[in-house]
Amino acid sequence: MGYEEVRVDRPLLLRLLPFISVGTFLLLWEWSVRSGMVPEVLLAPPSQVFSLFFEKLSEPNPDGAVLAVHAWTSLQEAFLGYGLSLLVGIPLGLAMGWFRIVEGIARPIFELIRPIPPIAWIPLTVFWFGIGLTGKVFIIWIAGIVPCVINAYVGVRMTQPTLIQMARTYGATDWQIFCQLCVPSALPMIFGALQIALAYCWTNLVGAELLAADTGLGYLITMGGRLGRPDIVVLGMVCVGLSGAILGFIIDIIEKRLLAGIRR
Amino acid sequence: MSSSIANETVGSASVREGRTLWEMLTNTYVLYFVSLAGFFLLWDRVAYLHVFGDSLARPHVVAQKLYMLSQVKFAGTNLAGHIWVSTQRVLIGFGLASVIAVPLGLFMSLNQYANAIVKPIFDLFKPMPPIAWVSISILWFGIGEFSKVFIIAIGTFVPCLLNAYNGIRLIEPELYDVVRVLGGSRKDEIIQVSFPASFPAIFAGLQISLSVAWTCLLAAELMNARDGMGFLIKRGMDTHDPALVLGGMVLIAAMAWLSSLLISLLERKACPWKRSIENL
Amino acid sequence: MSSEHVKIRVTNLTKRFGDLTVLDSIAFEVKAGELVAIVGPTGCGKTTFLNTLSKLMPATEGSILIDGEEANPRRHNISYVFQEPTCLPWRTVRENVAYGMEIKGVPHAERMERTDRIMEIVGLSSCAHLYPNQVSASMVQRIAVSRAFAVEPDLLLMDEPYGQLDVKLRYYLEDELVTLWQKLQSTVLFVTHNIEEAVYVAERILVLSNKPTKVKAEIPVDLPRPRDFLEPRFMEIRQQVTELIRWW
Repeated sequence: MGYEEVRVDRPLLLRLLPFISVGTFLLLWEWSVRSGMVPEVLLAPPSQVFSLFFEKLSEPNPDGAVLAVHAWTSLQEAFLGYGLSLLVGIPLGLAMGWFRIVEGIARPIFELIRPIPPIAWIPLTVFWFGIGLTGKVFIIWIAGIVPCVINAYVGVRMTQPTLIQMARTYGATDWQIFCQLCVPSALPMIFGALQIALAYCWTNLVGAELLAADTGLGYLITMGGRLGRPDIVVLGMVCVGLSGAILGFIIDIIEKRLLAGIRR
Repeated sequence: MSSSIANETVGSASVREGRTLWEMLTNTYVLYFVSLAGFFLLWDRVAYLHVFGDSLARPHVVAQKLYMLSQVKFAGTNLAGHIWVSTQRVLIGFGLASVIAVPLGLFMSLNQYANAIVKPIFDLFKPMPPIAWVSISILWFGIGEFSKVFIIAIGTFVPCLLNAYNGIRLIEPELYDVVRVLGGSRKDEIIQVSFPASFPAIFAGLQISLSVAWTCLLAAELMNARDGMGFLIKRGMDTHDPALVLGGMVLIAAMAWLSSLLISLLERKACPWKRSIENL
Repeated sequence: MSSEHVKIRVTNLTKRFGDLTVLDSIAFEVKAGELVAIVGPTGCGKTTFLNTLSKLMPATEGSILIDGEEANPRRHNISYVFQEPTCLPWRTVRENVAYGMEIKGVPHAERMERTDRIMEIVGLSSCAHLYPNQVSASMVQRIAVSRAFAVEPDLLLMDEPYGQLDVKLRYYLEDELVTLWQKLQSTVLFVTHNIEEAVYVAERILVLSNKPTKVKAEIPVDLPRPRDFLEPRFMEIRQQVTELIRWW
């Protein structure tokens, strides 16, 4: 995740250990189920999850949809919610950082809503919007907006005071200082928020789908649990983790590109 | 010296002491008051006008509901009981995870062999949202107390470990040189530099963990529970009682806020040298 | 070089923070196109003095008149070179030099022409398209100085701009400052704690007292340029200023 160190001639053992460790872990997992140490109703061996993955690509039973449909539903919800939270959160945070009136009005409400875990909104969103897309997008939006606002706000607040003074002595207006100094200097913090917000969104997506859904990766996990099928549960978890990791990776690349664009 | 003056001027430019009517109206505290009053009024109006049908309770109804719950038993215990049950779960899960994860993270960053063994497995689990564990923990441990503690522990484990680990890795190497120049041993380096320098990062990890813990608790209690604040919310959902849902949300928000305040206080005690940057 | 026209007139300038009086009825005049150095003991409120002059801070009492009018950053061209580097990291060297004029609303064509001219004088042309974090510390300070001169200021305030540079670079930049000032005929107030620097660049030196700060003495420096650090008359003036600061 961006903090790889320069590797200079590390001992062979050190380079092999990660592979040994993961291999051992998977083997132990497989063996513990196959040998009957762990009952099959509690855990599925990795090989079974792997074969189920290919099976689920075309087989909608027993949970009602093929894997691609689940994944597509989740991605759709996540992206809508994520996009909306960036769209609202970043400008709001920027404005809160610089304009006293915006901060005075928005901050108390923000502080009031912030400590509520996003999935606590599930019942209300079900009441209000039903179990469709809207409700889940709302929950994901609530989850993603918090880091966006905080990072944009802190980014503006960390603008070097001497830069602001410099602009003031040239007679710059508040609006000029905001656009030309505060926003550019908040950019690195804002890019940081992209990654955090994505993680929040993804976590809460699963939460939202556990309770109120009829498709989606979170729903797949729940159904697996209800049907007593640990292989489906594990498959769902792996899919969620994998797609989350891939999304994070993509955002990471975008972030680096954008950052490289502003500061050589 | 000049930088403090710089702060002063910026401060005086943005927070002018006002005497005119406009400046008095835009005084920060006045704005806070206006904002909160506006928020509650709007909430009340929206509920009163049935914008969301009967699915939003007016604020005073929520307050009444909470008061009532604190007086009578609901599902076997009163309000304080529900709060305590939930808090207990969080404390046990959070405590368990942090006691294991923080030392493990520190150890991983200090010993590359431990790192090479644990890190890859940890990386496998890291991207998995903690809430995804809810179903499997019910499969494994049933719907008892332990399955909830387990989810909370799993959820809090990741940020605790990650921050302890990075807290040490990101220490400036110059700090070690100070000890080395004075002839300190590896042990001195670890005790004098690594541990104290990683404190702020560890506390940041605890803060994140705690908010994850409340989310996990809620997920676990929403899925299945017979008591706790999540249970109140779930019951409100099942019986279509918005006042109960909102009451539960208020309670859990208050508890989450209080616990994070507690960690901040602890942090201030543990690392008084850390300058607090103004943040939200 | 300097005409007799009074450009800046400061009268009774007083600044108090609560009970603490930092500036105590300071009064002086600066002629158009004059380069005045301000020296004083450490912690005498030099920076506060500049911040008040530039209107970053409101003065408690007194007035600052530029061409007979109350100074105003929106109306007058006031420039300020800070002690710390104040380059915008996301703009190239050239864009940084042009930034002051951009805020002042100087038309594009003129802005480009003036930018190029100044960068030519201070030798920044070769790194015009680099970013500030790609050039050395002395370059960064030169960018700030160029930006300040480029707006053709009514009043240019400099707060120990070369305080953090090494001696050799400082000599070089001091010469450059004098060149810029001679070519552009700006009115400059140069705050420094380095007496030699003050005697080297200034036409006149204002010596400040300890807090509450007053103007303690005014010393004209009527040496021909280029000046020589080792010349007897130079050393004499330097001695004179040093004594004044030591026996406050």
